Amino acid sequence: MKSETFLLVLSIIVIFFSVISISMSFNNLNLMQKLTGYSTSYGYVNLTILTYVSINLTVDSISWGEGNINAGEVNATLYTVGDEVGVVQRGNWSGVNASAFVVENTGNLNCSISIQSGKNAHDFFNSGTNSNEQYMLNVSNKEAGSCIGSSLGSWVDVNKTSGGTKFCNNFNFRQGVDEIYIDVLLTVPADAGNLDEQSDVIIVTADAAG
Amino acid sequence: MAKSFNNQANKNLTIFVFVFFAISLILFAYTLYNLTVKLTGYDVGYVNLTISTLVDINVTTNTVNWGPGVVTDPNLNASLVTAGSAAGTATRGNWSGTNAKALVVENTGNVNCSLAISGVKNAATFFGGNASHQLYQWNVSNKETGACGAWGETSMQNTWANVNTSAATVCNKLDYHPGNDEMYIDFKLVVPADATLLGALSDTITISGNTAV
Repeated sequence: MKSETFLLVLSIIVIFFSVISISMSFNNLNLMQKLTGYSTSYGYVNLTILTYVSINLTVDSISWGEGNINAGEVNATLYTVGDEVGVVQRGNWSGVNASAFVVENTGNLNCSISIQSGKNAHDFFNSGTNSNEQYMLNVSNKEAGSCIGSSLGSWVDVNKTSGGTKFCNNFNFRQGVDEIYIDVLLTVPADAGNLDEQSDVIIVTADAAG
Repeated sequence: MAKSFNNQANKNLTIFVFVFFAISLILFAYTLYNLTVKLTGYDVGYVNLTISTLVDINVTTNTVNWGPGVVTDPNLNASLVTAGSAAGTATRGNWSGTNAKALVVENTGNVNCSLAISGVKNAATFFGGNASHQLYQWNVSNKETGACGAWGETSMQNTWANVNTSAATVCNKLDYHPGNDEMYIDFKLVVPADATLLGALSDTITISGNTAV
């Protein structure tokens, strides 16, 4: 029994020295450090695409020039038809420089389109009898699918109140589907109080809010 | 009979333990001698050290930043290109290239290493929009002549290639000697006018150095 205890103690001492010896040798060889060999870093690519609403009237003027109502008529009607020469009925104005306004969405968002005029029909012509006078707009797609709106393709009286009338709820910005026409119709009364050169300014407003 | 057998076994075990103990002591003494006595020696001196091998890379220019901008109308896209250490160039758009220079990767370790790169996005996931008007590409080249001594995947070596979302080893042996240890990673972005992803956009490039093959 005494010798077994002695052997046990001796064994523990041997194990102790062995462990120390192994650890010192291991450290001396520096194995852990030699095993490292990998590194990762990161790079970053950043940019910001600004969102913006922008429209451009690529055709921004309609000019009928000088003219008269044909004799015996109570009015003359002048209206634009897209890119074509304007149509004159019962008068002698020229439609050569009277094609529709063209509005293009040049931003990078869909937007709404509202149109406000500076005058209404009576402001424009001042008919003595307050009849036979019209001033109307007709919004249509120059490029199919550009604009979605309930009054598209219909003649609507101009609106001179603030904000005007909304014609498009979702005017597309993508190339090839981002242009609309604004045609204009004028009915000139024979008893117009406003003579000589007459003009109006229309305001086309785009809003991202839809 | 059994008692005699146990005594003999104990004797054998004792001898075995003593022998093992003696060997351990000798090994222990030898180790101590190597670590201490040699440094304080009486007739021969030794100075020992180990320089660990280290793979380490540093992206010294780690951000390509174009800031805010738009594709100028009526263009269908804008092109943003870095050109090494020079300011980046934006065409058909109004982004600024002042802070848009190539990423620079330097081998700051003490061994040649390989270099693998990967992105998280491709052009479609970066911008959305019309696929025919968008690009997200990179171009890997030596900033210091001969930095890469053995090219790996060569599809983007000095040429534009689509960013890869899986790691590609572009260089098998990037030198570690100062003056000969830096590479560029340039980027080309073609931003579509009809991008559906707007606002602040970014991607992260993972660059890994490993022991040279």
